[in-house]
Amino acid sequence: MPISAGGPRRVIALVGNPNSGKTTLFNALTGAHQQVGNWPGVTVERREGRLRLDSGRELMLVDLPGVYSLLGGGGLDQDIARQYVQSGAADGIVQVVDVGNLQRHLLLTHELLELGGPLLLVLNMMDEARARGQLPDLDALRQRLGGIVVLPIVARRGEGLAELRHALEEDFPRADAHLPPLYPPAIQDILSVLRAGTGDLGPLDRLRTLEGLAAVPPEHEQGFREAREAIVDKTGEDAADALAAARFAWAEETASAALPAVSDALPRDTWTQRLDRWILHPAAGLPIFLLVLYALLVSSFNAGAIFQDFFEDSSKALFVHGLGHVLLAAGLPDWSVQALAGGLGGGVSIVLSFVPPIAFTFLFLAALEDSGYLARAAFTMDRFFRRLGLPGTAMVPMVIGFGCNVPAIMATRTVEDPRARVITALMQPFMSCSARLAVYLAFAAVFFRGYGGQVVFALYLTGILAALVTAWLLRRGPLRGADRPLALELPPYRWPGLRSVVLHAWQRLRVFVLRVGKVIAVLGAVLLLLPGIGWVDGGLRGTDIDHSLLAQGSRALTVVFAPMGIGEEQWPAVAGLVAGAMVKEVVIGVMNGIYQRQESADLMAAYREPAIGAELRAAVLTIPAHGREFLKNLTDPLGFANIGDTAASAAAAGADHATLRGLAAGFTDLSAFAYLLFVLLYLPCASTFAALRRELGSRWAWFSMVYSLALAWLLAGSVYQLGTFDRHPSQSLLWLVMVLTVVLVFWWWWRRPGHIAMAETHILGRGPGS
Amino acid sequence: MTQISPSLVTLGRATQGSPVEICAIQTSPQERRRLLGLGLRLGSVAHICQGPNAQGVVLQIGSVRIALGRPWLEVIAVRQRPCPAAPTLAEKRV
Ligand SMILES: Nc1nc2c(ncn2[C@@H]2O[C@H](COP(=O)(O)OP(=O)(O)OP(=O)(O)O)[C@@H](O)[C@H]2O)c(=O)[nH]1
Ligand SMILES: [Mg+2]
Repeated sequence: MPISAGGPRRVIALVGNPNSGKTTLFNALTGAHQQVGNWPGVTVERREGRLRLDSGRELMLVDLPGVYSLLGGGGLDQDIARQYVQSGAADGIVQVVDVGNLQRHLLLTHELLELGGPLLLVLNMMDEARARGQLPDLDALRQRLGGIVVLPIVARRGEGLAELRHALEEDFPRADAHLPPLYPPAIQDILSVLRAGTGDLGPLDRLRTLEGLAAVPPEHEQGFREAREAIVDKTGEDAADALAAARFAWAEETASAALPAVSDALPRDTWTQRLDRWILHPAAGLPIFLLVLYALLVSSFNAGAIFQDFFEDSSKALFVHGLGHVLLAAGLPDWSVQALAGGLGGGVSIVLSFVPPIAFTFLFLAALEDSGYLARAAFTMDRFFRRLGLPGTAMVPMVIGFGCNVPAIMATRTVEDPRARVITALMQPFMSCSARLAVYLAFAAVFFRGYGGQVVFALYLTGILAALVTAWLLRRGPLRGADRPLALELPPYRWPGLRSVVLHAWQRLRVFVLRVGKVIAVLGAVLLLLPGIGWVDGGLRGTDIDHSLLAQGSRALTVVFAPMGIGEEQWPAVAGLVAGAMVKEVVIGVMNGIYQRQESADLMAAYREPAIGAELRAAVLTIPAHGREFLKNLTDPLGFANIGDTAASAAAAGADHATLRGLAAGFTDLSAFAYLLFVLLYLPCASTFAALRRELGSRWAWFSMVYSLALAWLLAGSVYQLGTFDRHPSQSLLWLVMVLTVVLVFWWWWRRPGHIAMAETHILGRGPGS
Repeated sequence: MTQISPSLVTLGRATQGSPVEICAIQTSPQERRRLLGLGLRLGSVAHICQGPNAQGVVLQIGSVRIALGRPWLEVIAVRQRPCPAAPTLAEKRV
């Protein structure tokens, strides 16, 4: 039955087991760039995309999280898929099947057939099947599935999509009368009787209730009891086992009708087997995991350093010197040129200069995600995470969090236990995301020249530790309980697809670059409005920056930062922190702008007679120079100290001389480290806060805010006080006593039973998908 | 050693490299449902690829590899299939 072109748009949903290639197919059909990865649970939310067919008709295609069974199991992600399928919102379902695991995937087909809607089956990953010499007999499969359309595809290469698009033009044929029975006759009869008596329940709800996964509605108690008894009578097993056995038998029969049998005793994926022998080794697994993380960071920084000077110098030539020249030529007064070119242009150029290391971080992360390693890392870490009451799968969001905390918080949806999910999400803001990396690198340039790399690595580790401590506290406090044990599918290793890795990294990088807009807005407010006016002689008047509202406000706040060694004269650093609450990478931009304005003569010469052409040429030449350096470093792959140097010299060029002087004058190495520690921990940025609020509700989001502020303050303060103990022992001692008292009071408050019960109702009150 | 009915052991006492048949899973219906989704049910024949050890165990059922955390080792009971290569340790123990 053709659909009228003018009618409402048809909605087709992609449904399937996790990691079957739904998103790959979705991207290929709609031209979208949703994230693809080789582990179960990449997609955690519903995505819609438009698909224009050859006839000119338009479809709405819906990509869903993977789901093993419509009956239950899995985290919030699987609930979302289940609810969508059950809601009947789709006019047709395309089930995406990994043909290499046909039998297991057919278990879901069984449930979809039982649901009875229009269904189309695509057999994905035909390339791998062909390589194994396993060609499915499509006609046999079609016949066993009651005549529904079955299409072989290779989603990754776009093979078979033309046929699929063609099939999407029409409503899918439903399974017809020739569909072989889904259950053995004895069970089928019992189910028919039950169906007649419980007509008000949906087919899935009925099965769920029968199998003990949902409470029996009081009015149907007798019906379900009789059905259960009848099943035990007939099969000797309880309902859940008997139905599962029937489904497995059906799937096995159907699969073996379509595919030549493979012996199940002999694992045949030797590559995967061989790699796993090491990667999953109980002793070698952890060192390998740490090495992978270390290599990820080191190679991102090193590879990024090749291009960093180029980005640095060329963006400075264009956005600072070039912009300044244009503005001067346009006749703007010196002070406004200073603010616009030096402050805004400088801020933007600083953000851009960190694009290379961040781009490489994203690139290597995407490759890692597409390799199949992350599922292994989850298993390796499981035994350590379990001590914290978390499943090893909580590791996956943390790794993603190195790129950006927002997708990491989304990824916690795959954590099955609701309490463990809240904990995992609250851990994410402590992972050093790419924006924080920008601040670290800029500081490393000034203070930690010889050992910048180690300092940055120490900050990463501190973030991880803070996350682990947070988990521990939450498990001992309001979110008590043990997690459900890990049960995870390990996908075969795959070579990361170059196209999808690059696209994926680009998508994430784009978010970072587009945030330059936000950076400009925040910098604009801080550097253009506030520094010009101040509270002078009992009224608001125009004034110089040192007497401006910005200076007055920030200076007042420096009291709070005194314990970590920040005095009044470093008020620009405090202004940076306040602005950085919106976007973290702004911290250094604000400081840059203020210091420049304090020493305004610095850049005017460059604006009057810019040498943009020469600067750009010089910028290009840095690439081969650093490339050679990089190759030289390859012979010393773990020469971490070098990162400090290359990144440092690069960053030093970008932050202007005024900034360097300002920074170097105000901070000591120790107070700079304490400051960085504070930047790492102090607040989830605005987007992260929004993500926490969406996923966990505002109470937990505010909790995260207050908690991380307190943690940052206490920790950064303690580091500084301990480091300067011999200079003022009594003051340091006082501080430490204060910290101890705060911790003890917190501990007491934290473990109050009433408090715990409250947190409990709050979590369990939030339904899935909300 | 030449037992007629192979003995039942917890998964934690099964030996690596041998095929086992899943005979009992003592847990809630919800947890069972989770395992079913992965393709693990009573009567499944699994090949033990790795472990059992401090991390847990990696099973292969058909072409699907499943990692199970350590707590499962005591929850799942298996029967070791006679393995032509070597008589299993667990059989000797029980
Ligand atoms: N060899 C091969 N690999 C594929 C094909 N289609 C997808 N993949 C790979 O399979 C893995 C999973 O792909 P996704 O599209 O993320 O799978 P998904 O079904 O969306 O997964 P979830 O979102 O976790 O449910 C990725 O590593 C893909 O590159 C294919 O046709 N052939
Ligand atoms: Mg997906």
